Amino acid sequence: MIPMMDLQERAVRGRVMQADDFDLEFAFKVRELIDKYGIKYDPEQLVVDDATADAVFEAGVELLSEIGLYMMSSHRVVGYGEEELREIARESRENPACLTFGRSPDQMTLRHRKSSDSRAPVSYAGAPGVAEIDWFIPYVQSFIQEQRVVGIGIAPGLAALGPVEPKAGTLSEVHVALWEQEALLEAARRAGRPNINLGLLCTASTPSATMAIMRPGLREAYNTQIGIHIMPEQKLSWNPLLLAQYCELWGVEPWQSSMSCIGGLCRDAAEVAVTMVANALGQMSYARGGSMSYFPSHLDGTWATRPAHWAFSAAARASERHLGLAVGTSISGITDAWRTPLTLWQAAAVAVVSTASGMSYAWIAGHSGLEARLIDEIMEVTAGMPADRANELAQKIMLKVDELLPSVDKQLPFPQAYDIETVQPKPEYEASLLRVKEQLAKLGMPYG
Amino acid sequence: MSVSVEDIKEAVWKLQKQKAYDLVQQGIEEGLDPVAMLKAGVIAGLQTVGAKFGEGEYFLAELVMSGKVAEPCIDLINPHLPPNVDGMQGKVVIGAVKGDLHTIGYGLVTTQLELAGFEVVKLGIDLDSMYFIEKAEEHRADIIGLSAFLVTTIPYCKEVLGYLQDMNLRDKYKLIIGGTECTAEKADAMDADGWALNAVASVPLCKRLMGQDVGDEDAKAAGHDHPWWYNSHRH
Repeated sequence: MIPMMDLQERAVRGRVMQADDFDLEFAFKVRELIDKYGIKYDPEQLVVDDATADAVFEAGVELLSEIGLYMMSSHRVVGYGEEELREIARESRENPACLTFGRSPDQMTLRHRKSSDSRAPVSYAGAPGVAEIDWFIPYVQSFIQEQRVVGIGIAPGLAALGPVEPKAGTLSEVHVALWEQEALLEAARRAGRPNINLGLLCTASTPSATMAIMRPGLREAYNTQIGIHIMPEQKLSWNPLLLAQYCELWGVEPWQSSMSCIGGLCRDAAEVAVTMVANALGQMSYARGGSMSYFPSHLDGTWATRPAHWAFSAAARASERHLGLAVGTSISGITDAWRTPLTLWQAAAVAVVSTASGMSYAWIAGHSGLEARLIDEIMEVTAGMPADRANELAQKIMLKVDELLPSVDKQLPFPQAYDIETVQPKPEYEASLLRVKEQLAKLGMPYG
Repeated sequence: MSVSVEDIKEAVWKLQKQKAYDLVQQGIEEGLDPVAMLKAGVIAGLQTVGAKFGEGEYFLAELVMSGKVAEPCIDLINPHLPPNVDGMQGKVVIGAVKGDLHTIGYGLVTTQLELAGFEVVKLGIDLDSMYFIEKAEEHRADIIGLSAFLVTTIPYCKEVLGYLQDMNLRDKYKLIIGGTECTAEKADAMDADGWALNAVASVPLCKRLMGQDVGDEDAKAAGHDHPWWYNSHRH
């Protein structure tokens, strides 16, 4: 980790550049590095091998040391030396993540995990997306009442609380976020797990609102993570730096999250994998986080595709071999398919590839508690599965995804999937997901 | 050898910045029709870049690069255009609203609109609502584009609309919105002029708002189930 005032200096004295010029320099450098290291996306091998993972790591180090990060607030480049990046990596590798969240009896530990570990990743369930007041609590409760779910990944947000819309950087952001925190705690109480990790702060995203929400009995260091991530591609602002400092000073585990877009400045999965590693190292330079979410998506907002699987696997395996991070990703299907069978098929493929790629935690594991349970079962039974078997199984699942994808265009609203009074899945919804489980078993998912 | 508009077009789509610039300069010296150089040369070259992007041959970096190739060429041609012929479809000022730091989405919209022949002024990110109006006035824009990716930043789109209304400027500009959490329904509810699901969809939207014929899409886009929506009550 680079000292705070050193970062300040780099941010205000680095090379001046227009954002467009930085984008071009970045895009052509990553192309050059892919060629130099011989990294190639292979749709036939979704779980990436050691040699490719090592190449992705080396290219990621070189990308960040050659290009740096673009500080949007000052239009300057925050530069890095290769040796200091290797030192950050060494420090991480020698101190593998072991993070504790929640309070007894709802306490959990998140650890660095290897691809060969038979210990399954932990499940930070949903509940993602935009919820409405009348089903916010049951939605969250549906996840927390699943005993295998050890925490919330990201809470849902409200589009409006009555007439009040949460407006970033204003009092309404705090007003709505406070309601959401109380509702999260109520959901946790109803599920009998009041001390569970509530995960990433959602609606409160600006530094001032984040600090306003953090208070005893509501959001504290033990049940919170705060996002400090770099925007794609390689764009920094003061907000993540300020929030990383806040985390450091208050003992909050920062939510490190590395994202990159396939088909944007990065042409394909190989370039995205390298960029995600560079992005991760960038975050580790200013935050003392032990976890890292890798999230490759396409420009149209979709994910859970073969290129996305490969890109995640490459970045996760690079981290497994060269960093001590606890790596995670979103184990879910595309937004249009939430709570339909397709989303479970997609999630199943993500779960198989990610578990075999050293993933430590699944966040947004599912779009209902039932889905979270079924995804957790998949991680449990595939943990320790050799890469070639995991790849074979994932390929079979993706064929089913290919078949279903064209016909699904609308998600099933949560109140149609669950009885929001009893917080139990409705029979037809449950049956539709259990049929997927039966079909997964026929494809070779090794359920006991 | 004398220069042709085809040469200019080719240099633009091949992203040969200096060559494109030199050809335009030579074309001006040789008395080549400036309107043809703009429309059949530079803009046609940009459209070829757009087509190659659509086919997967070019990527975002090439789109960004094409804007950098075309801009100095257009600056060279502009003073030579006859009055009332600017060759452009309309002028758009665009940026991300207050609190929003996402750059890729509105950058893509910018490029797609430029490729389609719009003049686009990129304003930046995390902008005060009043700034959009100041810049629209300064650049005599036709359209104001707002990028809002988060639930907590969408209210700033309403704020810009509120300023336009209170400053009696509502009918002077067409206001369009986009971003992950933006939808046609939300755009309709706030009485914006339009919404687009993605960068590609922003082109027919802006064309429609500028009064151009968009064929069959016109009727579909008056509803909420199309990749772009326009406010048929206002347009």
